[in-house]
Amino acid sequence: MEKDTSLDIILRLTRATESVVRGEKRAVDILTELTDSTQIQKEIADLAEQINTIVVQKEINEFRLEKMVEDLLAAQAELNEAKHDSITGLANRALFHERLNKECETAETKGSDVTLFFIDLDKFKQVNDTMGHDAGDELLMLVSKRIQANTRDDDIVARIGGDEFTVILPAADKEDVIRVATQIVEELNKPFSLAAGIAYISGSVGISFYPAEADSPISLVKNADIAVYKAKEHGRNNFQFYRDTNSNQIK
Amino acid sequence: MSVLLSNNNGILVIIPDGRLDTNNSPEAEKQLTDQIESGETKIAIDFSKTSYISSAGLRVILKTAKMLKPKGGTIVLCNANEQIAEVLEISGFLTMFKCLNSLDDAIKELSV
Repeated sequence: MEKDTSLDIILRLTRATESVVRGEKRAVDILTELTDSTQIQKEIADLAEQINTIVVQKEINEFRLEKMVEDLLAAQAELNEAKHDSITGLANRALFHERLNKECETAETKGSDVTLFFIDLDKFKQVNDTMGHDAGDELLMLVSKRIQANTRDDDIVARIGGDEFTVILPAADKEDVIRVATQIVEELNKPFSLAAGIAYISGSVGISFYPAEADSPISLVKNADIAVYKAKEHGRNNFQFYRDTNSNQIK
Repeated sequence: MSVLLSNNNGILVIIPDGRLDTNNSPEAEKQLTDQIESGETKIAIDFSKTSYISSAGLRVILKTAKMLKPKGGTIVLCNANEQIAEVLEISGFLTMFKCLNSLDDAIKELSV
C-alpha cells in the first residue's frame, strides 16, 4: 500500500477534529490515535497532540464542573434537610424563625404587616397514646396538608414542636386572616382517616400582628402563644386574637 | 512500556514504565478498567518510572477517574518528572487530582 502523503494525513486530522467539534462518539479516540503516531510526520503528530490536549482540557473542565454541581446539590439537600421537619416536610423551628425575621424586616421596609398564627392541636397526645406513634406521625402529615391547603400561596407554614404549627401571613388583610383562621379550625375539626383508624382532634389558634402588637419577631411569637392559651380556655377548637387577651388589656 | 501493579493495604499502585502515549494507553486503560471492575477504588499512579505522558495518557487517567466516581473511588498521582508535572498543570489535571512527591505520601493520602 502506498504511504500516505502529508496532505492525506492533514485531511485525516481535519476530519477527526471536525468529528470532535460535532461531538461524535469515539471522535476523540480517533484523534488520539493520530497523536504520537510514528507512522506520520512528526510535525503533524505534534499538531494532533496539541489539538488533543485542548480536548482533554475541555474534558477535565467538564468533569470538574459536573463534580462541582453534584457537590453543590448535595450541600443544598443537606441544608434543606437541616431546616425541614422530617415528618411533614414543613419548615422546622429554625427555619420558621429565619423566615419570620425576614418577613418582619420586609414588613418594616414596605410599611406592611405580618400576621402570625400559632396552632396547637387539641387531643393529639391521646391519638399518639392510644393509636401509636406511627398514627401520630401520619396525623401530623395530614394536619400539615390541611393547613397548607387552606393558607394563601405566600404564607409560610412550619411545624415548630410536637403538635405545634405556625403560619406566617405576610401582608394579610383582616378578611384574609379571619377566612384562613376559620378554615383551619374547621378543617382540623373534621375526622382524620389514618391507617390505624379514624382520629378526631381539633385545633386552637392564637393570632397576633406585627408591628401593631409586637416590637420584635420574638414578642410576636410570644403574643400568638398567649392567644393560643386564650383559645384553649375558650374550650379549644377556635381562634383568638392576642389583642383580646387579658394580658394585653393589662398592658 | 509495561504497567506494574501492586496492592498495598487495599490501595492499587500503578507504575507506568516508559512512555504513556497513544501507543500504549489502550493497554493501560484495559488494565485499569479490569482492576476497577474487580473492585479496586483507591488508586495511586506512580510516575517514578514514566518518562513521558501525552494527551492520550491523560485521557486514560481521566477515564479511570470517571469510572471511579460513581463508586466513590479516588486517584492520587505521585513522582511526576518535569515534563509530566507541566502537562498535568497545563491540562488542568492538578485542579482535580493531587500530585504528591512520593508514593508513601500518595498511599497516606489514600489511607485517610
